[in-house]
Amino acid sequence: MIYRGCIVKIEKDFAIIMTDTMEYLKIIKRDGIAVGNKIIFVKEDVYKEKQNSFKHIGLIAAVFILLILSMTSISNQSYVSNAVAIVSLDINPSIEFEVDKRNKVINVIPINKEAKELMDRELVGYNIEKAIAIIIYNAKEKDYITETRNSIIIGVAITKDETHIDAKKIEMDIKNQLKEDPKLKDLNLIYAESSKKNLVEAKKEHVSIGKYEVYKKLKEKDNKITLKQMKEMKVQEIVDKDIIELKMKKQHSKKDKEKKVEKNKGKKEKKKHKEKASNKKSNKEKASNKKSNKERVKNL
Amino acid sequence: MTRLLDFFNKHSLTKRLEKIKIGDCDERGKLIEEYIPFIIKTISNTTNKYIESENSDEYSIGIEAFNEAIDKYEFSKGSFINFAELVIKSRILDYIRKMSKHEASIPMSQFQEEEIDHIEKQLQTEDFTESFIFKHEIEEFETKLEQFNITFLDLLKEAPKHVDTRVNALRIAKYIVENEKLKEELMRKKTLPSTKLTAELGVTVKILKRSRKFIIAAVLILDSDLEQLKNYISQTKGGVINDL
Repeated sequence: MIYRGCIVKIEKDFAIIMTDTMEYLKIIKRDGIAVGNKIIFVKEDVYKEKQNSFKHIGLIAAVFILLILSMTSISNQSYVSNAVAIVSLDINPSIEFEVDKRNKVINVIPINKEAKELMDRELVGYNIEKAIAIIIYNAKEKDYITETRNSIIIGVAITKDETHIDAKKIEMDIKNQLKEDPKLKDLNLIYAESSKKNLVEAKKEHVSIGKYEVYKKLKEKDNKITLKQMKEMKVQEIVDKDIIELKMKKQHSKKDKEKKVEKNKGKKEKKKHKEKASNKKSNKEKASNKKSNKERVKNL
Repeated sequence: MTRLLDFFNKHSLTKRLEKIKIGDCDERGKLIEEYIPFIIKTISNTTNKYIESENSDEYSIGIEAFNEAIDKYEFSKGSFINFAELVIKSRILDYIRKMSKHEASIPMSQFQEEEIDHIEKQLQTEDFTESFIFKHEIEEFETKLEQFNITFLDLLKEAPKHVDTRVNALRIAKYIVENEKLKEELMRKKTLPSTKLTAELGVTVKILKRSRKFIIAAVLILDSDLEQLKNYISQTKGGVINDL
């Protein structure tokens, strides 16, 4: 495209030209340019607005991409969101729930393919115990849970220390909820409390925290088992194979908890002290449980 | 994809060059015409000056050089475009060198009488005065625009980009110029008599609003005694008078 025009004005960075079709255009300046020059020029000579900013567009885009990337990676690693606890559920399908401080589910993460089948509806916004009940119910419908295969691992990890929520309370809520529904009886529930550190490691290995905790406990006794095996194993297999002790232990700890609750009911006045004390107690009890387990293993 | 297209282009270009070499004059003319933007670009880049549209030696030299490049090009030499660019550049540079030698003033007495006549004629060309007047006219135009609070920068931003809207705006301008009352109103109020225009021409207020400054500028040129400027716009294809 050839333009003919006359220069009408010269500005600092460009010259204004009126073409013979009465178009007004900016052109880049060249030597010997003067008002009144009638010139021929081509498209390349038309001054491009914001020539400089084009150079920066790439830079700006790069910064944006970096920002977005860093934000997503941060949220993946450390749950910047409002989640105060992670609750995992392993039947064979493994699901993780992010829970906020009001015990509501704010995010649901399926860990394996089967999990997606159970998530037939939006679970965000439900109380955690209700959400778990729904999933277990669905699992029953889909025959993931039968009379013989009825083991479930529930893992709880608190991600924000400052909140008043604690793992025990979530456990109790879930237990109570499951008790209410007659259809959900006869389940072999295994609870595992996890820590922030273990949560991060579990994330790294792409296992649910529940399984990861169980794996850790098994590791204490039986070094042969690997995480990979564990990942592939179904919950029922884990329970059936060699974890009788684990079951026993769990039952023990359940009893302990019930005792504790009873005790707590008795001493309503000194709540704060009591909580601390009970925590200490439970730690001690756990330790003693471990000891007794070890003894048992020896006996076996 | 573009590479593929490039490949086809090259292919067709070599084919065309072959045709021309055999003696196809029409094809030669067509090819030169097609490559005029390229020739202009090469010349401007070499001299770092714009080519003046009237009596530009560089322009004709460029076209001659391109023509020469067609003749001299051998297919084994690589890209034709690069070759043509080289030829044009060197011819233009030769010309500039020659001119600069000329400029190293030569006393008139050195020339023969016939030559003196010829040179004087050349130097006399209306060109100089003409361009002076033209410059003056443009400055006058600018001051006229100022009365309407319009600058060239405004026109840059607001002048209609599309050919059709521009032609339409020019039609409105022409109408105003031909209509004494409207013109008088415009000059007095310094705004477009939009109600009358919409009623009489059936144009929408939107168009008037959008190209207000452009229309006023066009009126100012058409209604002025800026003969050269007026001529300039109207003489070429797509110009005001041709279109209307």
